[in-house]
Amino acid sequence: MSDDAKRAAAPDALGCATDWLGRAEALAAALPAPLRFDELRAGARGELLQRGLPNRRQEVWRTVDLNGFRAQEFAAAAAPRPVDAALLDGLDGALRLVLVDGHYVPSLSRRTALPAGVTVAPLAEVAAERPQLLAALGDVPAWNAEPFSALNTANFTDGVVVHVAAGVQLDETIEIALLSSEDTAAHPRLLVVLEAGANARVTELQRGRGRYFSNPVTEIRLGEGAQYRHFVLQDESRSAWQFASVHAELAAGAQASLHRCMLGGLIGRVDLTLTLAGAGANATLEGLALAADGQLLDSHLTVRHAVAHGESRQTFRGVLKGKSRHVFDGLIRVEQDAQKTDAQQQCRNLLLARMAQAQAMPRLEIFADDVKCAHGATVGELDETALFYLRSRGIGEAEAKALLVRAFAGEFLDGLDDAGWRERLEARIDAWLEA
Amino acid sequence: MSAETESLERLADGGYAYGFVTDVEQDTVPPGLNEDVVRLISAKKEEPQWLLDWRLEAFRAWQQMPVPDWANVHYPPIDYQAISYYAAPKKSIGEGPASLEDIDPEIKKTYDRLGIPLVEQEFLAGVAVDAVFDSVSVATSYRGKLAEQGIIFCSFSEAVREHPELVRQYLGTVVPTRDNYYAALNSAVFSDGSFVYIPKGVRCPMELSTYFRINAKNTGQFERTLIVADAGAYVSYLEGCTAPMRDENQLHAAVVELVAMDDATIKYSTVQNWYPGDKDGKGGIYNFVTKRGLCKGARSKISWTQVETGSAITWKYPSCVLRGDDSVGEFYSVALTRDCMQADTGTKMIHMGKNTRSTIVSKGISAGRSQNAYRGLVRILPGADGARNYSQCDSLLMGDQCGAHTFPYVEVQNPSAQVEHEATTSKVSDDQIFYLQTRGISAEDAVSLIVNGFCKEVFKELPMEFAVEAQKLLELKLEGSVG
Repeated sequence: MSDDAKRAAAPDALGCATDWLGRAEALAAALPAPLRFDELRAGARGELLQRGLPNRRQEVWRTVDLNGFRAQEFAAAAAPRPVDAALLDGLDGALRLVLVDGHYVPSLSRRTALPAGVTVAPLAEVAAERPQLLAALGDVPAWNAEPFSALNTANFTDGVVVHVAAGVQLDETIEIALLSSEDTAAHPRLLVVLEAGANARVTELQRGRGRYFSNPVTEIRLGEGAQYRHFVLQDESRSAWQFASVHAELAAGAQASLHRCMLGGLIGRVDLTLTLAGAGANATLEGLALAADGQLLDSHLTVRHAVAHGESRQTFRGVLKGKSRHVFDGLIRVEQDAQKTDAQQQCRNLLLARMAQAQAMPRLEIFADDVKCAHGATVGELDETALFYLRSRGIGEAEAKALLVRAFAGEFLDGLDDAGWRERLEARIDAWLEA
Repeated sequence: MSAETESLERLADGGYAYGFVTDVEQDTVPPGLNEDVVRLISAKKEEPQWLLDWRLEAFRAWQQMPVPDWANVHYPPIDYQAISYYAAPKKSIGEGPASLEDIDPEIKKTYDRLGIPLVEQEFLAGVAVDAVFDSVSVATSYRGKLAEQGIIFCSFSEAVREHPELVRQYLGTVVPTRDNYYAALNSAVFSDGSFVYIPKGVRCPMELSTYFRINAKNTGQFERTLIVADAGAYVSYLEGCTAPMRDENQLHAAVVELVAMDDATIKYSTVQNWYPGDKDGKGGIYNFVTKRGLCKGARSKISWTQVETGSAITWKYPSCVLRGDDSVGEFYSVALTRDCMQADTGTKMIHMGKNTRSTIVSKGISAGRSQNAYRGLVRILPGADGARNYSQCDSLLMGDQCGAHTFPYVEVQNPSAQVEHEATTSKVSDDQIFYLQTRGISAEDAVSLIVNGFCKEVFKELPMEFAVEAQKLLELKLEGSVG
């Protein structure tokens, strides 16, 4: 069957109420030349058409029922709609890029003079003015085949590019906000390239109001010895759908520390792949999921040790209340050449309610013999004796619980080097517990 | 390659000592599988109509099922039409052996070479053996002694003839015909196996044992084992396997069902040493087995212990469904792979009852170019208040060509449950070997010592005679050898 015939048989070739492919094709024709990326986008559309959206028979999608998502209609936002400025709470730095519905909004953003060799700019601007900085965009074909990455590739209209030249250290925290308005679909694209010895830090906020679809994709390329820290606060609306992807590759001696705190989304899913491609690279992935009634927070991580002497740490925590679900699916893959790898993976879950459900799949695939790999998973409720002890000291039940949950989340908070965010998150956890 | 790796590899090279073929005339159905073959098997075994219907239902389900491809094993597609689904030693067709003296002397010799205590040794060893030679049980010992206590220990076909009500009551209740591809296939064409029933309050006075042998060329082996322990009963069952050397891959798709009623305990121990194929992965047994126990009653307990050292491919997940309150499930496993062997093995613990507990200890050893995977599921259902699980999966790598993988699935739906999973991966370190060598222990013995230490937690769960055998088997497998 030809592509046309296929589409005629099912106008929404992906079996969705929203015509993703038709929209992507219309977009491809309408975009200004520098943003077209014809080959890349055509490839993504081809992948989508060929594979469709995933279903539960596929192992990594076993945890999510996409039927609800398929039935949803989301508007393509041709231009950003006005949003409540309160959504930007917590971002008060001098360097702030705000995207609403996938479009850059200058009026909400703040740009400051940057040191030589540093570019922090909207993707559309970079594409028009310095396209050579986008060479790395979408250059991992296997990963682009992943359905929601492909959906982003076929549909993104703007994003943020961070490019730091060799040896340059950027002291200013780069703040990025991805905001969504009701009923829209947004496909923001982030590209972070740090050349050898560069150093940068990003704080990213994902927020919105009402029901919408957020489909951000982040690509991170770290050169030799580069150091990168990235904190994401996934604070989407509780009726939003989020399918996020992160792809990172580390050259020799590079260090990446990726922190992700997840609170929002009816379904909040992230697919993260990280490759330690150079010797002595070091990756730390920390996650904290706070899932409330009706939510599914779903994290799928793959850390691939391709060469020797790599070190990786994954620590994910989940706190669950109401009828919620938290899924941690982490894979450490140690290739045959990756001798002397030191990889660890931990998933801990705290269940606060009867109907809460935790799933953990900490997986190891090891093809090298001289490695140190360990993983662990625990699930349990609050320790009765600890609670009793606190109460015997005159601390009320709610407060005692909050204290223990905060302690449980503590390691994640300790990992944040931004005191402001640490405090904000502590307050958020308390509020979350009371809600 | 370091000298140590070399010696480890040689150590992992131990040949297959049990490779010989017994020359016995076989009554074999021509290769191929259709409803007529299912009917023929059923007719040859003079089965009642309900069992034939059950087989046919399974066969029809099997035809609709896709071949599972999620396991971490790779092999060319199996041509199910090229397999013969029934083989029985000719001389036992008809009335069956009246006594041990009547069995084919060739078969007896085979068992003797395997060291199975069937005749003279049976008294000394105190083991009742239900020996399965290919598909028909050819000898059963100690029957009388067990019968005195009301214990039924016989071949599956005999059980169908003599205790149809028991078989019908429990068959397929733990592993339904549609459970999975290989279980459905087994349900359709199973040839024979063992049946055990321990009546209320009886503690089985001896270890029950079955030795499986795959013998006829191109014959898939489809064993069916059903063990029922009634309230308060106790039984320890041993299953040991060796198979002669072969060039063609042989399929083995067994099903084992255990049912434990209130306060009953079933201990099921396996030593599996089927032919793993040659050094280049040619030949060897495909071992696709479904084993599951149902802790049906309160305070019941099912314990699986397995030592897997053979088969080209092992696909096996002995599981426990903990339905009764306070029931206990255990899984202790050692899986050794070498050369081109592939193992994807583990367990499932399904907690349904209150205060159910489960323990998983899995030790994987990979050598050569082999791939060894642990795959396990711990599921706590909403009703399982106070459930508790502890899992530990350790892998030992010998050589830089092999792989060790761990795929645990933890699913918890009850906050009062406590679930812990731990896993480590390591290698036999130079330091450990060096230390033992400085104490005058040869490198070969040192590795054996280290490996045995690594597996100790599992070996101590095996019945004594079996533990000795398992330890020897492991040494033999790792022999050949180090210096």
